[in-house]
Amino acid sequence: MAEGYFRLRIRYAKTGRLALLSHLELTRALERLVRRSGLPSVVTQGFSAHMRHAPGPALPVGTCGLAELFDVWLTEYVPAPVARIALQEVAPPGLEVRDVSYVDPKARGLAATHVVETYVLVVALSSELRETVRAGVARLLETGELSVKRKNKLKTYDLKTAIIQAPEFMPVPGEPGLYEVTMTLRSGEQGSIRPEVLLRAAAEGGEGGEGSELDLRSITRLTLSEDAS
Amino acid sequence: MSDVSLWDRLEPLLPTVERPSRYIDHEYNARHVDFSSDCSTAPEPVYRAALLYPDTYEIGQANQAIAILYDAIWRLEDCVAERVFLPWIDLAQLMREQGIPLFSLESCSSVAGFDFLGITLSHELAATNVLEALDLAGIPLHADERKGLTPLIVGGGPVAYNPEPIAAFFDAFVIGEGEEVISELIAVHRRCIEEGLSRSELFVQLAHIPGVYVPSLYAPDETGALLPLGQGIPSRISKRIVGNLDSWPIITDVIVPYAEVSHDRLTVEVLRGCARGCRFCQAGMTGRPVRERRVDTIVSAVSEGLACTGFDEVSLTSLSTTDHSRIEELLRRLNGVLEGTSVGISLPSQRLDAFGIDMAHLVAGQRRAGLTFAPEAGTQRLRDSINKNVSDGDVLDAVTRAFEAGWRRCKLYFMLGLPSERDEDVLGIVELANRAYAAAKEAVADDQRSKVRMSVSVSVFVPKAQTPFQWEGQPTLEEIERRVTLLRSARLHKGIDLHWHDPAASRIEAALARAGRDGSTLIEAAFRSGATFDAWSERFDATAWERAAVLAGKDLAEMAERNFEVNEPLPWGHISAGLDARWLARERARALAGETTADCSFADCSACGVCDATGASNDLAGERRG
Repeated sequence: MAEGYFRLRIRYAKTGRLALLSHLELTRALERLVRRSGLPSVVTQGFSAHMRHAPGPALPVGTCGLAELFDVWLTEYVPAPVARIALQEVAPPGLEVRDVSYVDPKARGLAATHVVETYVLVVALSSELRETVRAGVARLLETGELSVKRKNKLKTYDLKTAIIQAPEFMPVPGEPGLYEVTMTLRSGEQGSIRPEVLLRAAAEGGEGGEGSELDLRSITRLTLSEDAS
Repeated sequence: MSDVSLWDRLEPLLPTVERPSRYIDHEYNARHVDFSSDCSTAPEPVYRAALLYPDTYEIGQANQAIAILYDAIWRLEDCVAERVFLPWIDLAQLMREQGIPLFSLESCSSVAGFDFLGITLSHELAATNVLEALDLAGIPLHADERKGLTPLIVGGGPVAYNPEPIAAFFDAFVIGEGEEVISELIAVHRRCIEEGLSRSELFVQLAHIPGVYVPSLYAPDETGALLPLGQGIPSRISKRIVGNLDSWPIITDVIVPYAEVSHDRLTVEVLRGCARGCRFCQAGMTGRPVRERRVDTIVSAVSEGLACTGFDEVSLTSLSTTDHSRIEELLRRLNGVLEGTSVGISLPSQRLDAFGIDMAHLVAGQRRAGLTFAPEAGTQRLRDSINKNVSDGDVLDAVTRAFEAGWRRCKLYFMLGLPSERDEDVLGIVELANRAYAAAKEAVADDQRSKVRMSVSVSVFVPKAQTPFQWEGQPTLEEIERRVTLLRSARLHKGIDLHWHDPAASRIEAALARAGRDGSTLIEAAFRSGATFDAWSERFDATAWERAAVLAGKDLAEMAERNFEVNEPLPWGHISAGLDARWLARERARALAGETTADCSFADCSACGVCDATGASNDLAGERRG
């Protein structure tokens, strides 16, 4: 990338129905949002000219995100508050531009730097199951690793690295049986462990295996940040 | 009237089905009564219209008819329009299991609760999907089983030029272009609701609107011709058109889909109609006269549309965009406007001559995805007969120019089974394709020759109503299969890929395209036999249609292969696309004699009759080149 470009980092929330977008659909929607905003985005030259951008780490279909990231390169400096308003004015419902800031154009990619993710899951648990899950989490932490089978491939996660903050359970006020489960995870070279996968494994007693079905009401990535360690 | 949102019942199902984003609405530019309430407590508007494209969201979302009518209805006072698409089979099954009816996108409410249900009918194979939609909506399939004034079920689009095989399922049809008539239709419907009229009284009122056909007010006489049942009901329903297309606003704030859809780009319609006069082409015959938008209008619509949507591609659509009299000026101006952006321009149809390639070259930039040419027939004799005024030389010049200009892939499109086709015409396809392939190889440098890709795509001729070939039957399935075998056994260069369309599906299309009212029993039986999404090759089930034919007492071969006498009443004889029947018959005779007819947008008038019938005429932005 040539010198003299500006890298604008957009922090946004995708909530509600937009949780059902795939990563590709969301990326295309963000590109279109940037084009509508009229911000002077950099167009790559080559066989297929396209906007120079870099989406943050993907979220699976069905997961909301409150602090997602998307980098776009601009040919001219536009004051961040002006850029933010330009984007906010043309954002579709459910996609809210929270803030924008400039970052070093040469900084490493978002997937490499923003590896710390905090999630909150809303899940219905009987008191018995809640205790099973709690005990399962403790056992998993003790074991220190978890093998997950996905698409016929077995992936083993080092939980000591992957779990920064173990799942905490908070009852949802006024909703008996519903819990907010918050956890902070770190993605590594083997990818990131999905919070619901961890919770399902815990519900099985932390023994691994296919994972049991849980009555999950929602999954939200609350924050996405750089690794301080 | 009910607009209770079904979203809370639908949402839990969505993570389990394919591509849930097609059901979520909330796209940029989708219109809602009151978004902040998330549609569940929106105030009830006075008149609610649902617009159904009878296929999935991916196929229908970019449909121009839906976009135009959506906009036109929202412009009316106290009216809202909402989109409806068919759920894919996985969700449809879940909806049936859980008793969730067909829903609109914007308010996610039951389609049966709307005042109006407009259905756009792009092709004959959508018929079973119409029944699937009504069935999922919980609406009785037959118009005569329905009660009350709402929802009023109205069809429109190309298939309405012979509405009879689906007439039993519709309350009314709009013949021709819908943007003007929709407001008249809704106004009459609203007044009838307010005045508390009966369903039959409503139908009579609707039948008085020019361009509106109410099938229940017509019955066949002893010759089979459909005649009006009451005083003042028109004996002939003539198509409606927008005379001054340039003055109709181009919709620029179009809905920006999340899901990947076909034609996922800004569409700007640059002209309507085509006077080239290809004798098999229903769109060309029924779309006359030619009406071009002015260059200024188009350029500002493109700029505004891109700003409103954020699309990175704009398609300049029409039946023959490079025929626009000021196409070169238009493309040069657009190139200027779009310079330095990542926005590409696409031309959906390539004119088959060097000029067409020059125009494609002008907008291609670095993109050379591939070009499609449609010689339609393999020999000059047959091309003259169908009035495809293109010579072998034109085809070879176009191919040469395209490959010289950097394209490396091209597709040639032909039809099999055209009237008067002989084996030499079938073999002519192979011969022309081989020559085109050689021309392409010749046009590129030695080190590029291995990159040359050519494919030949062959579909089966389907005779359509309102064309000079409306009287002609399709060849038998066995004969079509013999010609396919002949084509495959001929020496097509091994570098050329050959694809052909399933003749069994084309036969159903042909059977329905010229069927009369009794065709509805076949369609319903096919639907009951499990046929839906018939236009999807992986879903098309010929045996379901064969079973249906037995159940309905119909002979598919007889329906598709039937030759009508020129003087015989046609099932669509009461529907007029503005073409003089004598002109159509004359064109048929000229086809059989191998004589061509000139394009009246740059040569003499051939007296097709459409200008007299519509009160409009060719409206060009400049002088056309032949």
